[in-house]
Amino acid sequence: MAVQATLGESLWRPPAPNGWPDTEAAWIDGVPHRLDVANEFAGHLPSSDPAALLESGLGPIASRNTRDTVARAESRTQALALLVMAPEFLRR
Amino acid sequence: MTMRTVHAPTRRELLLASGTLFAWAHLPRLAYAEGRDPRFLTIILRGALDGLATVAPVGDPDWVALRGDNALTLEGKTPVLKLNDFFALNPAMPNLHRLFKANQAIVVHACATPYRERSHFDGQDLLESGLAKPAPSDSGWLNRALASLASAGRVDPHGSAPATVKGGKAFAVGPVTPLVVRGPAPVLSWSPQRIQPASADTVQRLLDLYRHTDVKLAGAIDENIKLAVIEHAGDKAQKPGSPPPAQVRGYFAEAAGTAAKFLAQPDGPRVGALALDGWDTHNNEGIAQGRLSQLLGSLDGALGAIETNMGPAWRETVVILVTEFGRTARINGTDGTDHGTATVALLAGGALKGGRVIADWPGLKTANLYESRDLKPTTDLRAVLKGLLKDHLRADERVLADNVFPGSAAVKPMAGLVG
Repeated sequence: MAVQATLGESLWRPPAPNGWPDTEAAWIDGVPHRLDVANEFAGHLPSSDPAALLESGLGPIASRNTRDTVARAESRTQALALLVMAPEFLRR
Repeated sequence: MTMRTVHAPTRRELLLASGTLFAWAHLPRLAYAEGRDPRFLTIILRGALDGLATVAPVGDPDWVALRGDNALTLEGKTPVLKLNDFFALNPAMPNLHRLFKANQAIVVHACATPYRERSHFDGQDLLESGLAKPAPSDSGWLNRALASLASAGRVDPHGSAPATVKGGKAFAVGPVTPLVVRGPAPVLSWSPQRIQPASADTVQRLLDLYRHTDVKLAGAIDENIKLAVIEHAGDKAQKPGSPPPAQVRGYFAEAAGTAAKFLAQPDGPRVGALALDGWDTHNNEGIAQGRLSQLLGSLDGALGAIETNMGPAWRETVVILVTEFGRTARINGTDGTDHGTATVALLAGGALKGGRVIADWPGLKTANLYESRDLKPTTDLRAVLKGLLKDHLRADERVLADNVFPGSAAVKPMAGLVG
């Protein structure tokens, strides 16, 4: 619930009668908050392997930049947060 | 998600983010029988701390040539804090310097785990698992050491400790627990209920990725950083929300200070661990002024907060700060340093026989560097950790050699660190 509120979509409390906006602008606004949520979830995952997750989640569509960013992260937690925030993960 | 946190956290506690404390709520029996009540706090510095920028070998004739303008020197613009005739401390750490002068701090230099590759993930695994080689492990050295200690009884089943620390129900080992404290011994965790914002370093890395791949996403992150800077301009008090770099200081002090508050309680836990991130300084390292200087200053503030909050228990305390490996001896092309090998381990606490830099100094000539690029490790970090576990907590030497740090019989516990 706290996560939903952070993402700007509190349960049962849409900002307007027509519900949550689905425009790109509104979605883009949420990106920084989404990073905080990704960071939180990454911290709660048991020690998983970011490289394996990248292969199973993105595989061939992962760009060189994304691969390097994940591989060079300073900890597994940071790698996982960056992975799920990668453009290939967000825009599909 | 935060596992049975049973008291409503205060606003300041909410800021602790990954400074979550993991602790063992027993009194080590053998030490207790000697009339001692030792406290032991392990702080993991994730990202690989630059040991040469933290404690500079100012007396080494090859030092200045090695680091050039980035070498900390006695005659530098910001004068270093002299430890002895050979070593000096980064000027951002006056608290550690004061403790050193009061014989309550030890620097172990040219020190490393057995890990000799350059991956943060594997390096941190090895640092925390206590194994001699990278291999999957589901427990850490601190937990296995605790599991081996006879208990003089659970501290505080019903006493006056903070609500989260007492009672069987607060004991939990969840998936969030760092490897170093995972394992058979029941460990309690204390963590804030609010979600933790991503660190400034994580935000910067994501921004770099977006700038190369997705301009619109980059714009969204960039705007957010600017807003945060405006929001916190001239604002010394901490506010919930994405912490800009200036807040790191407060955050480190809060995390470590809260850990100390728990450990200081007469009926609180005795052994704890937490992790502080952000040490991976590839670009614009900022050794005398800038990023590393701020981080070290924050760490120094954290040590001060621990000392203060420990109160009288400080004289029975040992804090050890360890990192997965060091950084390259030379500066790279982007004013930073890359993944290296040997580094420092920093010890502070009233229980130490301090005021010493312990180093079998390998020298800085290229021929003396590990793979011609890193400070060569001459002290095994496991010797330091084993020495503390043996003499401070009274862990058994054979258990340390076989179980806590498997296959480490040849690495003798370093004697005389405490007492």
